[in-house]
Amino acid sequence: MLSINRTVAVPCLAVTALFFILTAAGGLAATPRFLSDDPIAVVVDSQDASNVTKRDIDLVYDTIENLFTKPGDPTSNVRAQSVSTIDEVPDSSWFTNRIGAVPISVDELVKGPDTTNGPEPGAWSVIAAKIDGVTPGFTVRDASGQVWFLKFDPPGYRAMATGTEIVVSKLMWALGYHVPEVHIASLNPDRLTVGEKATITINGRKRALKRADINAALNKAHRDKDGSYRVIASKALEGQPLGGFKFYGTRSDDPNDVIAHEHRRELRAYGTFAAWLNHVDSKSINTLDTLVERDGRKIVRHHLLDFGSTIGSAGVYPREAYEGSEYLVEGKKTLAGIPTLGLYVKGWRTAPRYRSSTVGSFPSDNSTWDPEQWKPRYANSAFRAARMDDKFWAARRLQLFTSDMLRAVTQVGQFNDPPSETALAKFLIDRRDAIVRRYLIAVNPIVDLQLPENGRLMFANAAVDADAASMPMEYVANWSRFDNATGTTTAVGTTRSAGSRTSVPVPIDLPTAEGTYVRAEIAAMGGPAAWSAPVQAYFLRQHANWKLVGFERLPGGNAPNSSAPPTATARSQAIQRASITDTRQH
Amino acid sequence: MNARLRLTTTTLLISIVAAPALAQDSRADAIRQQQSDRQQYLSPPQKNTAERVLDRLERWGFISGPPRGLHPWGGSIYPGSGFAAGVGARQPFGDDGAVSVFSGYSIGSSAIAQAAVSLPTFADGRGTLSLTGRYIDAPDVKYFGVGNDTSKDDRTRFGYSPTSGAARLGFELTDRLAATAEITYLQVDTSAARTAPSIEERFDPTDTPGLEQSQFDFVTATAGLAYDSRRRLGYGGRGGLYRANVTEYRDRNRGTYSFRSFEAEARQLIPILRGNWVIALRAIATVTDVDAEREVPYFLLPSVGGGSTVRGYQDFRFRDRNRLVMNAELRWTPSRFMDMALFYDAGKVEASRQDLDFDNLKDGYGIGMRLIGPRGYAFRVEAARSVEHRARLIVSAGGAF
Repeated sequence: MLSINRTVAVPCLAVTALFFILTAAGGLAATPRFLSDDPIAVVVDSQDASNVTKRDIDLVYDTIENLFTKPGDPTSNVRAQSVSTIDEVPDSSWFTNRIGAVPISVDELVKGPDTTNGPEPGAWSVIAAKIDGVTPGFTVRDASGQVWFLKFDPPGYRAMATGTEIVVSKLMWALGYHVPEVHIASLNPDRLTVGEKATITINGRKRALKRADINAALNKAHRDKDGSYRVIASKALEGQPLGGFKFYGTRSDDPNDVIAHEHRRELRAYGTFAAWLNHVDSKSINTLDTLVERDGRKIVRHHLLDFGSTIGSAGVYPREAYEGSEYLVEGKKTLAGIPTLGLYVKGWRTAPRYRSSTVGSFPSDNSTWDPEQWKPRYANSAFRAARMDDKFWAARRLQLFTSDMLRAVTQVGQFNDPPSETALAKFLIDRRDAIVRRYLIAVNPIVDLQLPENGRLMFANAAVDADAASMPMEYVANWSRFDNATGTTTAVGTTRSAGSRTSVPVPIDLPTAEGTYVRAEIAAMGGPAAWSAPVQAYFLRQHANWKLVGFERLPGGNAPNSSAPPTATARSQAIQRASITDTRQH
Repeated sequence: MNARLRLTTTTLLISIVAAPALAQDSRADAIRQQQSDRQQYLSPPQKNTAERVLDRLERWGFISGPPRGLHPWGGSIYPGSGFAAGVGARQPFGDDGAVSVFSGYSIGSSAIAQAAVSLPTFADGRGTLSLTGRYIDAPDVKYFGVGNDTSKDDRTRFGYSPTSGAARLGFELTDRLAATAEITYLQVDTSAARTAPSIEERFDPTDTPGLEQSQFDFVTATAGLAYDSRRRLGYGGRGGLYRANVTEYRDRNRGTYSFRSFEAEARQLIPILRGNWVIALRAIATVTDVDAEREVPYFLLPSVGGGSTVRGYQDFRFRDRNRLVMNAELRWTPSRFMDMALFYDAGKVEASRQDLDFDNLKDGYGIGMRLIGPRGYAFRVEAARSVEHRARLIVSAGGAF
């Protein structure tokens, strides 16, 4: 138990409290909610981070810490803090808006982050090797001097790890994450030469690399009949490696890391994407920070990597059935399982699975799959902190992957196994649909708000547009004038429209003076219960137009039991209600 | 400064520095100010106490890989001698070779000292060669006489101190098939037990071959072949292990105790409903071949009983020239790190290999809970029952099989 030096701590607490009171009274009153450049699209890392030091994540500690504790902010239901005032994630050293921000063609998706065609042909000089464990790997320098990391398929599973890695890399890139450029290549062992200063670490001891080490490593990899090896070549990331990032807190030596990682929407949403891809290995050791130069200063750039253990691949084996359904350790289930003699058969034991040596093993029927029930090997703080608005945001991005795109991206894996490629594409499509169905209706799904000069507030209903839900009975908007300096509101009126119309009238007396802020709280009534919680949209009158400057989807936070499947209304009921005519009340 | 005071002070400082940020005109400026303010509170990342403890355990080889440098040692010295602890050291050399030494003492008063040299691997990592010197002092090894019908009331003990030097060659012929060859110099000193009754109080050389002398010198040569299709990491719920070893024991004194031993083992794991249950089966047959006028000394007789054979019986409960052991387990896994098992063990020893049939088997059954580590079973607690024991508790590192 902590001991408190009361003679010092109490005055400090009092001073702190006093400071907050004074700040709240004076400071906040002078602090506008919206600043001149809101909503921002980019967050610039403004400070030089040259002094950051490398910090390796310890897998054992990370596993124990996340299995048995909940590190990070203990407060639940905290809104993501890396979002702009319109609830979007700006570009940053963590994330670059791609799908959803710009149209992405199938060709662009397939190209992904690639800037080259892969390692240059000719000799590859091995500068480091890894033969500890069961998955060998080499670091090589190609003829152009570019450094690549080579990884292999396990014996008997040609294409499983390498093909899965490249497919998922493309998808994660499109989703906005910073990932390495990867290529599939064929390696003739004769092309490998031992670099002059090449090293290998065996059992914690580093020494000079020898040709025998390379051969020993290759013994653990799948070899084709012609003696070659299929490899995934991952281009070395730009900058100096600094080790992985944790999914909570901030990096103590990075001045630009000002938001606790568990409150970053992009990391919270990563949980939904990980569920989609059954990326049960979505943990800190599969991330990497690098120190890069931007605008004349050094900053830390954050990456996700190592996707060879996703979907049906567990890297060295096909994915086990439990993975995605259980954490590594589940206390109550473990205790309950001891006396049952195994007679309580868990659902994942009997769920049908697709199996092949090329794509591994994954559930073949995802029609009733609930992403809310998905579990990685162990959770992290960002995944735990995710609210329904974070998951909605993720689902909206997934929605933008067309089935054609997903079919095309499976081809990048070069599995050379059409039935398995079809099954893999079906897996991606079905789970995308399941996530869209689950999360687009879990919160009020109003999106794309505009306040043009036609006297109506225009918007879209993401869930209805995705055919994930029936239209609601009606939309109700409560209008108010918003004082940006004080945060106070003055009611203006309420308008309604039938659920069949994705717009509501603007009150006649809505103030229109330049610089005026108005707030519209829009609820969708007669739909899923969660839709009746209004979203809040803020508009600024600027240059004789209304500009959306603020948006909050869950002003009240997650509803209780929000992880339970929402109840959807029947389309027939909604259609009957759609005859309600517009009304204006104020 | 204690933790709460530190928290208070930090909060205050952050509050103070946050104030200017609140007054920014643009969001970009506000963020820039936040980042700038953070500059003065930066600190290099440091490992916390738990991380440092884990580092230490890792260096000691308790988590993965071999130990590095000086390290504590724990384990078992000899069946029935109880848990042992000690200290060791390991120093790598060459490409992947290592010299390691350790010594330990058990709660049953047994002691061990061992030095080993693992030479660097060869043939692209497929070949291994190791040299091992070992001294064991087990002052109270159980002995019940020879044969399958001995009485547990005849339990005696003897002092057993083998000193050995061995050279072992291993070679992975394929990913699953491995061959081994080993030459060992083995000197055995036997003595009266520290705990009464000692072996000589109830037995004599006519029923206990080798009891008439207390020092033995052997040179043994072993050749083995093993096919292992089980999963190498984590929980192995499928596959099998099939191995055979032949060992020639040559008595360097008068040759009286020279003999040959042949051992064959088969294990098979059969998953049911995607591993919801696993049926694990094992059979071991050990036979010795002795020329006329020669004997197998009592301490080298194949045995049945104990945590790795028939668990409902004491260690070395039955000894004779030949043995048969069969185990069956029904396993289920409440957790990825734990499995449970109902087991049934049976076995027998016989003077003649022709008598290794299914008659007069000594059997037992029980239940066990085993913890699973990165490389299979790490620890187990099992309760076994037989006609001789209502409940035997087995607490051991590793699995029975």
